[in-house]
Amino acid sequence: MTTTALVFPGQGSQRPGMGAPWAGRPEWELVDIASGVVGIDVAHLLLAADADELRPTARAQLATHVVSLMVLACLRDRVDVAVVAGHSLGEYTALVAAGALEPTDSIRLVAERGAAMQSACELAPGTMAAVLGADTDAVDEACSRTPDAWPANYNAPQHVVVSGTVAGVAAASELAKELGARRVLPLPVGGAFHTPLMEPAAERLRAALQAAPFGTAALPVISNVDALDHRDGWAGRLQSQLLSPVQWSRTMQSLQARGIERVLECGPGGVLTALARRVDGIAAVALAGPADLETLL
Amino acid sequence: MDRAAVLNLLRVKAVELLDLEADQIQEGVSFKTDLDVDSLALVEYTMALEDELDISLPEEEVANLQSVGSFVDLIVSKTEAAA
Repeated sequence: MTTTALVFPGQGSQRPGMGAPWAGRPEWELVDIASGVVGIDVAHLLLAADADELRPTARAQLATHVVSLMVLACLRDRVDVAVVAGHSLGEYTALVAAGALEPTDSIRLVAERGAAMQSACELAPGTMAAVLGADTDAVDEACSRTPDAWPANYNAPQHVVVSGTVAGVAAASELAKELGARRVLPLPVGGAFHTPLMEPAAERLRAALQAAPFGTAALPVISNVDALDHRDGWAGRLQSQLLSPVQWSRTMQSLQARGIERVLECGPGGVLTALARRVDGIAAVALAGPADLETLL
Repeated sequence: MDRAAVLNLLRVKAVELLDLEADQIQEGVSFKTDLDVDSLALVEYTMALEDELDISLPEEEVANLQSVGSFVDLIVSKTEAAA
């Protein structure tokens, strides 16, 4: 049997109309549940909102999370899963997949996380940029030599996202190019996610995380902060995650070392699928709608 | 490199990197609006083509390309310049 890992995307993967393939299906009840829990019209976000309306982090996170939950609900019990992981926001979905969190609780936490991050952005505006074609060391050096810029996502060996103030990211991007980066792609986000500038958000999220009823994960969950597998202790880790880089490249190495042969990305986009395909010995499939699951199963 | 060979390479790399089917890559099609390829994926695709052909595809020129056909034109011109 193919040894399978599930992975869950973070924000940036949202797309207008991404809920449409799920409308009218049993999994859609998660949309109604989310609307009830959060008190906003999640169906509107998934069906009618355009790219601009979906872009603010609170909406982007909630919408992405709910679509990923629907993919998971549809897939569940139909595939044997050895391990799970999620990129940033996706870590919450991974915890649902591992049985450590109920969807109603994950939705509540994701809504709080989105609101907290959005407030932090307003307090300290920031941005992010993907630096491609440079070694991790070069990007680390560019950030260490630049005020207010930090490595935020180690996505792959030649793909690191930097985050910080607008001036910090611009300066670190220039320096990274001097140190060998082939391309720098600004990302359309308004905050310095995964940096110390998110301290106010981490502070605000702490109480919600500590009050949340985490159970022990039934599957190993590889965490963003250290790329190690854990079953417990998620309140602290999800708080630290806001302030520290996502160790996704090491997460993929960990999957490879465990003998994972297939990675299934549950959610919109396909960013993690592209990253997983670079890893030798791993096949990856993006599952965003019911049709993708029918093809797979 | 002639147009047919470039188009074929674009198809091979699109299947490999962009999760598309070869026959979706047609001259009149736009990566962004018709095929829903995001900017990050398009940049990585461009870099893979640069590596494969040992050419340079300047960011500003790639950013303005509207269709697969104009992408083919750019690559043909760069490979001719390099030859």
